[in-house]
Amino acid sequence: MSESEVTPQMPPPAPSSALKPVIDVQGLVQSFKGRRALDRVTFQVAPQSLHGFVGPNGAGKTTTLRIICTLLRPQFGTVRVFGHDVVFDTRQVRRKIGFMPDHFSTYRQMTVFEYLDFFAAAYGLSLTERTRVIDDVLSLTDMGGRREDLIGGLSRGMQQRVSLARVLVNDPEVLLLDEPASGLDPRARIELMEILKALKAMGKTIFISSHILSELAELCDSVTIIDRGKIKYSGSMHDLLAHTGEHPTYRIAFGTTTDGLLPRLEQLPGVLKVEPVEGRTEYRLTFDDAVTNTNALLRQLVEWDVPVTGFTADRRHLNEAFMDLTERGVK
Amino acid sequence: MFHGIATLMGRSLRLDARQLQTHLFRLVFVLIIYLMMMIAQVQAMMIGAPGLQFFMNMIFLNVSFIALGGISFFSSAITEEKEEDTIGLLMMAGINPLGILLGKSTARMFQALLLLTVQFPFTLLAITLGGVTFHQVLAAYVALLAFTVLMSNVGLLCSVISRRSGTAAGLTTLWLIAHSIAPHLLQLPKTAMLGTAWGMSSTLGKWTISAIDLVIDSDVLLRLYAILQTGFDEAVITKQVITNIGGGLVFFLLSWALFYRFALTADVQGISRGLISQTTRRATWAASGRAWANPLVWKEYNFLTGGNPYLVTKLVGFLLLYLLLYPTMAGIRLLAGDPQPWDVDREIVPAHFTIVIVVLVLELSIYSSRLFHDEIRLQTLSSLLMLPRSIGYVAYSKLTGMLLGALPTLLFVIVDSVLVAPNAEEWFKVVGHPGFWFPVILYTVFLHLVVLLSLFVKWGALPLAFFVMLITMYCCPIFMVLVVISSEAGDFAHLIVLGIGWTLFVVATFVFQMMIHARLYELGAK
Repeated sequence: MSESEVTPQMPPPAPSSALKPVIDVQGLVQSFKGRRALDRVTFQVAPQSLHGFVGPNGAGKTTTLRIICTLLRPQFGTVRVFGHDVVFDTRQVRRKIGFMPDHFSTYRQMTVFEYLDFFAAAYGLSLTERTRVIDDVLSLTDMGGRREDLIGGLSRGMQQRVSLARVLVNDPEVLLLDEPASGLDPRARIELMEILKALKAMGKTIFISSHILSELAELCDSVTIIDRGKIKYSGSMHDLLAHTGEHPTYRIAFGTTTDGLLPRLEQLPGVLKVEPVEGRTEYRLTFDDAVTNTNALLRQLVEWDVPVTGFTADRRHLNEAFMDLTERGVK
Repeated sequence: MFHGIATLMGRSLRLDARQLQTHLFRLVFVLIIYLMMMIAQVQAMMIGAPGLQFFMNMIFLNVSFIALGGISFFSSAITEEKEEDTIGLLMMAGINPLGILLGKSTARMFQALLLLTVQFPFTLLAITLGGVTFHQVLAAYVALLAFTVLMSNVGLLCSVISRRSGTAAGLTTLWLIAHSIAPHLLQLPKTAMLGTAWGMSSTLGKWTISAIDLVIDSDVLLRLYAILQTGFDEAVITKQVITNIGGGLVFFLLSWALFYRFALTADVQGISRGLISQTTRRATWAASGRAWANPLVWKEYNFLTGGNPYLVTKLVGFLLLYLLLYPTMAGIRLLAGDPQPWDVDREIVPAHFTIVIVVLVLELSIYSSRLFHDEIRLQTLSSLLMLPRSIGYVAYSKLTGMLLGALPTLLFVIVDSVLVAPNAEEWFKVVGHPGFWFPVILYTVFLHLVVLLSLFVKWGALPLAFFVMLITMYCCPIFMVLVVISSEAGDFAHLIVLGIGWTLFVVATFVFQMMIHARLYELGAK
């Protein structure tokens, strides 16, 4: 019997990156001294996405990250990175990931170049490759002018850039960043976010754990919210922030305070609820879309000749969603 | 001020009471005393009046623990606040430097004194066992109390002037070595001076001899040897007690005076590259150059052992030492009244050999204590363990880098050993004997212990390992006795005993390596 007779004709494989998640966490359970740090944690990260990982202090973020980056063995459950199991295929996983911990993990007595050269050599890059890669990562992180400086003499923001440059020397496909913006001043934080956007544009998958929700909301395609070791939400950022009520809600902003506008808005046909937004000349308006629509509402506002400066579908802020999904108090 | 001192002392005592390791330490101490009592009991069956031996063991155990305390416990009093960056906060809370010094160091000194006090009733058992008088017991404990005061304040001064606990521990160790050696070294010039008219009659000569006497009298070991002599009937308060307490006070006042200068302006994050050049654009011999194919070896060679600059310095230094030893040895002979002081050719190489062995032992011990400890301190261990390499590869690569830095010393050890041996046959005979490698493998076990302990303790892994080995050797004297007896019984018996010893040490080394591996994994995951 020939081989072709028993082997079924398979369709050509689809590009794996289009189908398979880059990080696949299934039923992760981890306990420390009888306390359950992770309780059946399951989530996935899509290729070439920027995935936020959010949770209060002690929620299990760092433990999850340490398992993904092979530093900690999971007690139960599986974690796969590009299909490689973090326990059984540790080296393959390590070649594909770059992990930046939440503290400065640098040799302060080395120069920036020595530090990057050391790690590039540790990943097995040749001398020529190292020179090219170091130039590239220093250029990307805008640290080219500091290559001869001692790391210990650099500012916090610059040390964070060096850490990021180190993570990039082996050209990893996935970046795991634990609180990368903590302790940075606003400028350094914005610049770091710009670098992350550039990396995403280069096709990297970025898994970022952070407390700075506003920046995550702006950057991330998807998000996982964890609280007390349990996953509260994992999915697209858009779905999380979209208003999930039965009726559409819009936010209307006015240039100046308009007296008596609230009762007039409430009396409009189809309007179900109008709430003023605290501290702003804005109203949050919910209406029955079977009775009215946005065009009719806008037409009415124009007729009233009130100075409308904004009319947008109401989306929750990430911090609102975070507060809704996580429990009060410290674990 | 008193409120601040009381708060700090209370905090220090509470922390101490809560820590498991403190109680474990005391338990170990009690167990050792219990073991000594058992040994004394056994000795009582064979020899009469074993009390003196029991008391002697107790006293030297105490000296060891006080010295260890000075190196680790006392020398971290202020540096731990510097490392936590809390000195400024304490000052802002209204506690002045004197309050901080008293609050931090006095509590520690009391704890040490407490440990001495609680064992006093057990020690009285030595009188029952026979061979020791109450007067000897009292004199010995007063001498130890004074030594504790001195050590705690030496540790405090080192803690004030050092940036890190490790440096403070190193400085205290150096002081302790100097303090132990000085009385013996000064005996020679004293004898020489007493033989001259200048030393006997001039004021300066008399002053110098008095100063030397003061240093000799301050030595606690010499004092304890005197106390342990049969028929001791000297006063309890002697020069040793006065100089040790007085010295302690001077060191405390110095700590206070230097507090603003060092403790407040200390840069804990300070960085040092030794003599390694910073440029990487030009290839100079003093620069670290590009990372090697095994970058871990490159890193340890350059940033742990000092790289090419230190390698060359050591080579030149050891060569110069041959030249320096010539006038030094002649000088010693001259002081000793030798009629032919310059006839020292045969003494130079053995002296050089001794020095390079001591340097090698110290060098490897210090490197071992820093091998992984620096990674923990700089929080870089997880980055290293994230490399696509095994923990074993990382550890052995680092070890190779460390050994590379110690090559010049090792080279001179081999050269000197060849020069010292009368002929090649004798050299091979000595080197080929299993007994020759016995101390080498024992030292290897010690280095493993240093590395292991450096993964657990924040500072003082080296002195701790030294004392653990010392206590282990004390508690297992049977094996040492067997080695000595078997060497007299014949080659075969001796080889069997050495074989057992070798096996034990190899097993110990293997167990330590497994423990180091497990601990590294645990630290990487933290």
